[in-house]
Amino acid sequence: MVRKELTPPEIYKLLPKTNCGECGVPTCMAFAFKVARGKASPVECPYLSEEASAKLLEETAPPIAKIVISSRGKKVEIGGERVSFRHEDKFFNETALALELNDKMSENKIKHLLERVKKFKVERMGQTLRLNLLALKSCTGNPEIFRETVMKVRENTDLPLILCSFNPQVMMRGLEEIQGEKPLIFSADKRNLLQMSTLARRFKCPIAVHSEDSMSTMIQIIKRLKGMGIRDIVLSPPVRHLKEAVSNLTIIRRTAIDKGFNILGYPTITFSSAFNGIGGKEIWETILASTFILRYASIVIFKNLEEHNVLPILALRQAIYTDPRAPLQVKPGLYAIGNPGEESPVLLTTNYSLTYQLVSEDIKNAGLNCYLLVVNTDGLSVVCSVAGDKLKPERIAETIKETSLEEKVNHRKLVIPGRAARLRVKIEDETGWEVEIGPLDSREIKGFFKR
Amino acid sequence: MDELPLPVEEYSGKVAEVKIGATRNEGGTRDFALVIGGDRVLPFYFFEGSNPNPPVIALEVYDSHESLPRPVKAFYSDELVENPVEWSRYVVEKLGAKMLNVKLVSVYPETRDEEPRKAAELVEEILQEVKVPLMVSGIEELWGPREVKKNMETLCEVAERTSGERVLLNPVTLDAYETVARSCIEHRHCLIAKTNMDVSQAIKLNGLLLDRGLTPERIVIDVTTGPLGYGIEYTYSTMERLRLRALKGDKSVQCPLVMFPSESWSAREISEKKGIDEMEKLGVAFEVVTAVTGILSGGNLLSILHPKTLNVVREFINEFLGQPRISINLKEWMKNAEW
Repeated sequence: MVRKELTPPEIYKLLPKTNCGECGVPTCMAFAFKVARGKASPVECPYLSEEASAKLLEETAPPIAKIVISSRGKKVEIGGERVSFRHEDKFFNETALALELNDKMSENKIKHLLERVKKFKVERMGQTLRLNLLALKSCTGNPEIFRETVMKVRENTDLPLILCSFNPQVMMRGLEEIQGEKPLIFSADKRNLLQMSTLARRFKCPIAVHSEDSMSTMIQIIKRLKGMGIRDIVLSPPVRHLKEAVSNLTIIRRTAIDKGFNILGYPTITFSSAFNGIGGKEIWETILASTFILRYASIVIFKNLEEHNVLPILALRQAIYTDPRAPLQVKPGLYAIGNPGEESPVLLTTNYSLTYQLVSEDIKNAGLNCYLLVVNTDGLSVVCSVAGDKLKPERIAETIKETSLEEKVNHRKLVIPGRAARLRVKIEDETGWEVEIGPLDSREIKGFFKR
Repeated sequence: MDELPLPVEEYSGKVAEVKIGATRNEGGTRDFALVIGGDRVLPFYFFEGSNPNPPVIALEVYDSHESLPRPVKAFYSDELVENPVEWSRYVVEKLGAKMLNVKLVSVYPETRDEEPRKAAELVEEILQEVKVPLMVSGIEELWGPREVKKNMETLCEVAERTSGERVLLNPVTLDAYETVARSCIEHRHCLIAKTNMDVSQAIKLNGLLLDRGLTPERIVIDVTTGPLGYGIEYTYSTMERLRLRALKGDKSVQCPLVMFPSESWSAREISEKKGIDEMEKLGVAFEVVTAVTGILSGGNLLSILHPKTLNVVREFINEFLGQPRISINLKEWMKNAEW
């Protein structure tokens, strides 16, 4: 990273050094570390002088600004990013997925779609994956019809909105209908800049900047907005085809972060349904959305709600925005599945969330009553922990002790995953238990116990 | 006019070019050879420069079809998948595959436990029937010493019988690399160095292979593919880190990267689907997204299972090469009420 950032001692100097603990951490030094890592905002310190606060906010702000889009009940944060590669730290705010609606749709159609959005959720690895925003566009160009559609949408959902029109009159009527909320205005461009920016200031909303064909036009518009004191900006760079989209999204992220060019330090908005010229539209919407997610897009707008289109996008987003140093984990320990007694089998697995989820589901599906011994592998799967020497026999022995497993069952037989077969003897030596090699795939647990 | 400081990096390193397949002039019998790698910049960093060779796709054929996902079997027909030679001919002649990954799954000790000799004979037959470059896969999931040994025997047998064809042998791991490396050099092939989603392991194995006299022009790195929803983030970041290291000048990892989107078919979400059409749609979508992720993290070679994925991924790659077919227009999008 080229951008110079304040170190924890430098931040500490500006803090009150009273260790009052009101910010939630016990010492000012600990708070300084949190601020330096971007985990806390300076304003969480109640005793910070105004001068120090301004300096800290300025100097510790992430190179990609954090922007909030909100309704009365919900808010979505985008941007706030500090690195270009997730292995350098992590990505902070996951790409917001927005379903596209328009003002030519009937009330029934809108209701029906919003009902589907409400029901649409996927449980994966202990997280609930959902859609985050609605993008409502004015196809008619008629301000009154747009206002009515905003009203109808708002009657049926509390999701934050992106209002889409290049016509300031249309935009104004939409904004008036949901005054007090912070929808995203899409979009200012070089023609409507003055009127759209006036609306952004009047309604205190974030505003997107679009340039069809030129990055430098976009930069000029951003400068004008900043000159007017507008800070909540989202970028819609030229994306006439995939190649240009990938280039420009990368340029924005990397110039802002690695070259310290703060004029481009804003989140981006992309459109995976706005393309023409190729067959198989459904799969291409998924491809565009995936490409945008992988190239830093903060918002992706799409319109296809079929499972085979949305599920891959949700799974990809979840993966890319997982903290690389802290994989999704479950607590190590002993888990009772079904109604185990002292004769019930004991199975072993690792504490990677996905591994635990799959194995426990498979045991349930097998109708088995058993104990599942979950060993701490720092959140690695069976295959990775065996290869990386993270599934340690000593740790297995410790976990057996800590969970008082030997008092719960009257046998000493441990079933380990087939992929951990090579650890058998070491585990037996370390625990004193007899080890039996289970199936390679937990889906075969049912068949394994039938034998 | 505002100067936009393009985020251009000056890299000192360059990824080696690996040539797969030997033509008649080169001591083999292939109609053409494929070159992968040679990267000087990150994938699709057009503002920085361009890479010489687009990603190559290998389509998979199996020597025994029991473990094939239903939609794949249905696409080809039962008759075809029972005859790997005909199947290979079909994917080259009818589907236009430029490379095959012949998976010798019959040698797995847990299932058919077929003799390496028999599996290698099939590879010879396929080499006679089709003239595209080949990857040949032995046992990819090496969870025990039996598998490690059998894989080594299989790959050596294949190497010997296909001497001079510059086949890409898959996989060679830290468990057993010496024998295959030697055989690979002797019979003028190239190999895939497979480690487990870990940068330092990849560096270690590559170092050992280079020490044994393999040149970077004979090594392709596989960091293990965690498919979409099943650890793709590990694969993605490990590939990105290795590629950055290579470009920054670390000579021990300046080799092309291979990725296996075909692994996506093991996702539960797919096998839980009831109808075969639903399975296919979801499976192809998972495989495509895994492939896109692989390409954007630096993948030079992709091994793909479903022909529909092959078509779409080929089109995706083409969008970056010549005249793009897809146009995105937000002014039009704004007016378009079609749903």
